[in-house]
Amino acid sequence: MVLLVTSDNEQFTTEREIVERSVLIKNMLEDVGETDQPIPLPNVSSSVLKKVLEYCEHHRGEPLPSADSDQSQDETRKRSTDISEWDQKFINVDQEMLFEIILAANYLDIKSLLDVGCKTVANMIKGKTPEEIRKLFNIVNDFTPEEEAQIKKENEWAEDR
Amino acid sequence: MPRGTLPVDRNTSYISATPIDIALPNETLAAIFEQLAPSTLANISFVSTQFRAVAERLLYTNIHVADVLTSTSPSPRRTFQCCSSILRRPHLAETVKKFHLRWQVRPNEPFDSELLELALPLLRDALRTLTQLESLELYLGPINLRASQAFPGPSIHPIERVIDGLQFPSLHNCSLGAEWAKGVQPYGDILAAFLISLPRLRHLRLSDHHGVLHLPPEALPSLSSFRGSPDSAAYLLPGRPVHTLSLVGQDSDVNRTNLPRLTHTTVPLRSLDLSAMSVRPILLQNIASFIPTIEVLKVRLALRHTLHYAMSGIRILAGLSSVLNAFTRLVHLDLSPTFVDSLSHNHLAEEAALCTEWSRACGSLRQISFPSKNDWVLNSLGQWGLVSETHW
Repeated sequence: MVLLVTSDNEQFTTEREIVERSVLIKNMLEDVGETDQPIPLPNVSSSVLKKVLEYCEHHRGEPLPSADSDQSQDETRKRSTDISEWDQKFINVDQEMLFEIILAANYLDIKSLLDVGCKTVANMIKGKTPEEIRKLFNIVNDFTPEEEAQIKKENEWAEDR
Repeated sequence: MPRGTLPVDRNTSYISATPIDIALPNETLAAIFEQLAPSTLANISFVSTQFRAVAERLLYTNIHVADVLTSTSPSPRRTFQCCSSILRRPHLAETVKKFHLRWQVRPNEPFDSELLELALPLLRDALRTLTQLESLELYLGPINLRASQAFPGPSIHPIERVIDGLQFPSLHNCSLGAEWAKGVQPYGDILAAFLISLPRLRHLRLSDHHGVLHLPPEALPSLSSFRGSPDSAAYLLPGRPVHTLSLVGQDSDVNRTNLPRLTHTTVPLRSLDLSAMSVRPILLQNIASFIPTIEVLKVRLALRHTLHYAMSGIRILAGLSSVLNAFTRLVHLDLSPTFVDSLSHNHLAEEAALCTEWSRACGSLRQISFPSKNDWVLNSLGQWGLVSETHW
């Protein structure tokens, strides 16, 4: 069993097979060997880790992507924004949690979870106007109207007719 | 769609009503934007400075520009826009890995060749800055069909006017061409000089090159696939490691002069694609005797020319046995590009019978794709089985 400690000091005890879906933790465990020492995760809160572990438990035993298959997997990934039924339900959370999960998956190096999160956000962006996208990400338009018009003109070649 | 997946409902909203305050780092934004089409990336580029930086890097890595020229919109507008943007933003030039450009005109639609001519110098100037380019595809549509009166001087093929003097040390895929008709301006020496300057080229397509192409033996040392006319192939293949060949044109263009030269590659030619020409069985016979190393053969048979129209059942394919007999290493025979206007009601039984018969004629056969688009595979017990059936 592995002991994890979150940023808000909650402790989670979990099986090694589950938590090793995180390449970060897998490498850590391989480096230190068998240990009773808790693993601190200062970038992950307890509510997010709970979700992440739920994902890891559901996908336990599935093969991890290997480094050399990265390219072909990337190709497949780009072609499809389909998400499996279980993953869709899993990721159907409020937007704050969705972004937190993405950040945690990135930090913990869980490629398949990062993929699910990124695809979900990509699907949210599709068909939205720049203003709607700003609202979605809570960002301020830092362009002047002239700059905005100029950028629009420069990238117009890629727009749908 | 793979089993166990649901189509994503584009209208599904996972968004909370309250704005959130989480900034995603650039690498995560890039992972998200990677999933998006160029038109969406263009849209994202004026959201904010951070979004613009990430989205434009992706947008300009793989450039696909398509201009459909019509009488109401005769100018290659997107080409002008894209090339101007590249020239105005030099820092983006080195991110460009792919530049694919296509001009098209609808059949019988008039076009303004002067407007197309005007775009060529700009296109060349923009391409000149793309030093990291790995894939270049230029299809200049109808531009070569009418000699322009507005640009007197020595006649040069429009593609050559663009590529003259350009150098792409990392280019591994190149496809060049324009619509072709008898009497159009042919290629000159610029094309050869350009190809000589591409040390890493692996895949080459020349859709409208039909003449002489003299390259020194050390040019294109890594060329592994070529698509173009039989005459061009006869100049390019000898002495190079080409294992995949696609031929375009008429089947009569493949003759006793160029066919033997196609065998002078440094590795065996394994894959031959004849789906762009109507092939009569005599050509297959010649190919079998000159290039017996072929393992994958894709063919569009000229059934309607050589056989009586009324006999359009696939049984007429049985005559191929004597041709297949000559191939010694053929593994996959792909007849799916062959046109059939109808299938008989028992075509599955006929296909099964053909599999057995052809297998007897050519012992190396393991897979057959029929004009019906049905795929048959030989299993380890020596039985032919249908792996994917197309419903008509």
